[in-house]
Amino acid sequence: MQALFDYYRFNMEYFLIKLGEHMSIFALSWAMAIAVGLLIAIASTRPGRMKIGNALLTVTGFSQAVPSIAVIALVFIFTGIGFRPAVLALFIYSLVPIVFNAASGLVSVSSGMKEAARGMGMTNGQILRKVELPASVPAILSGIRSAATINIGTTTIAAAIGAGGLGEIIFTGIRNFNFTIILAGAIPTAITAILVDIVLSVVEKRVTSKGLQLAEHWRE
Amino acid sequence: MAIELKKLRKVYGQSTLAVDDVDLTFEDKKISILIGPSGCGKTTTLKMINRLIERTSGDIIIDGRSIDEIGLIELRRSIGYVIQEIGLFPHMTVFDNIAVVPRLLKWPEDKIKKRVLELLDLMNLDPDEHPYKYPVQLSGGQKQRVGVARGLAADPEILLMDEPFGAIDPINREKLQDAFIEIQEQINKTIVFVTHDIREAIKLGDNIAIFNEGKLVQYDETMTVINEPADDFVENLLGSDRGLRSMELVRVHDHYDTDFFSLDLTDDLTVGDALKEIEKKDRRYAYVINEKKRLAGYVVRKKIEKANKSDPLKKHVKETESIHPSSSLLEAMSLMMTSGLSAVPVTDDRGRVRGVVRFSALMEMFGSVDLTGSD
Repeated sequence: MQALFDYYRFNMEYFLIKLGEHMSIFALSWAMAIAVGLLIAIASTRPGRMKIGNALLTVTGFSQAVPSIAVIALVFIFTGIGFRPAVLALFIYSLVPIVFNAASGLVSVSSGMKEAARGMGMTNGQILRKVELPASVPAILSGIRSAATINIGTTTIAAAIGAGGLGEIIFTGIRNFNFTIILAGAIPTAITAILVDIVLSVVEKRVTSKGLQLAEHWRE
Repeated sequence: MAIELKKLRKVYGQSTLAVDDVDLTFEDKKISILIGPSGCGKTTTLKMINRLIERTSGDIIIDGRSIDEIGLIELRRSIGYVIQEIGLFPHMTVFDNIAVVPRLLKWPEDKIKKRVLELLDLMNLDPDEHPYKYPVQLSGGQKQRVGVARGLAADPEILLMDEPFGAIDPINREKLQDAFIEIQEQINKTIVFVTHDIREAIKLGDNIAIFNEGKLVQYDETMTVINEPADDFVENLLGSDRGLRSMELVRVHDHYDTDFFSLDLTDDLTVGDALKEIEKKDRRYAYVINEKKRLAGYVVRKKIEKANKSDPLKKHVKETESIHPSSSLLEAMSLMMTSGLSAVPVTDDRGRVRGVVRFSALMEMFGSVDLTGSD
């Protein structure tokens, strides 16, 4: 324990730089994945495109089984090493749960609800904004949440292609058989993942309609 | 607003004929029922009115204009649409669900609030408690009331209802139907109502359109359908006990006689004065109306002829049972049986006499029907 504190005391600046790198790789790739993922999910579930939406669900459902290291390796082959390839790899990797969850949420909005909306004179855009998205908020957010935790963890591997981040500390520890250094990288990674998850769960509670939360409660 | 369907036709794919040359007019301020087995074209016909399904050919005229002349979105916002409870938005409160169309029409919020509370009251939902609940917190019947309120929110002239009570258990369905009849008496909308339940059709419908395999088999007033089914298909749909059943379901509402005689009661009205009036009109009896314009009872000519002519009439008024317009004809009939009256007065909520149901008229109405139901 004392050794761990000593590590931080002597390497504070280095640690903060690595933490900063870690968070920027995570934040950048995650934000891009949210933006692009939601667009893909929405676009593939518009009226008349439900077949594409369902096909996408199969593909993304399937790709969730691909290990992260494989994705990073593949991106590395095509784009080389560094910060950008790492962001790209993590973007692709976290795209999958976001698209999968958002699309499954949008696909499962009942046709009765959508027909009622259309029958009352909502335009397609209004149906999306006022009915489909709000009703899919729990699914969309659970995708975004799991992407965040996976992403923070996986960012450690990005160190393998020279992107920096807390993974660099962990890898240094491994190379030197130094358990303290491994922990010095691993513990903050875990803590940030948990913190981000807690923050997002609060956000989820805030933005999910009370009606849907009650419905969820009802089902249990 | 009347809705005219002209040679209305819907073809799916190359040759599947869903609706085949349907011509009919849904009358203004009436409830018209579309009924038939599944796949008969009733729902397709309904949805062609608000263009959720586009027709293949023919025309639909609302208030003299083809629906194509009205913008699609404008058309839908001007027509109320009610489906089964699944149509409510779970993420919105009752208030927000009802306010959907007014908000699409950009009504000011205070007007919306007033309207929503008014509708909750009309639907017999507590305006203090219910607006802020979510659909999941309501019973099936309450959800359906909210659904109807939502359809009525922007005060449309026309209401399309697609099996709205289909998912409700039989007991609550009856209650909803009774409530709905009373609501329609207040709001007087042109309603097109799809159902597969013949009881519901007879109970709610002013007119019934029967569909089979895309064709309109019969379209008539409810009593005409019952008494003169167009063919075996309609007869089977009505079932063997249609006489009794229809009597149980048809409301007094459309079938009372407004030709009756009444006297306004005052303290100084004597038997002699009353008799003169009755003789002048050559009536056998007269209803007596009190100062508050409520039904006080009736007097029989033969009885008061024997009484002292200078007696105040008040002394000779006999109390009578009366019946509400939303009661069934069967209730009217049984009231006649138990009270021995050959006619029962029809009174509204405020006790005012609106007309009379006579035994002879009931016999005429159901005369062609075998009341024993043995077929």
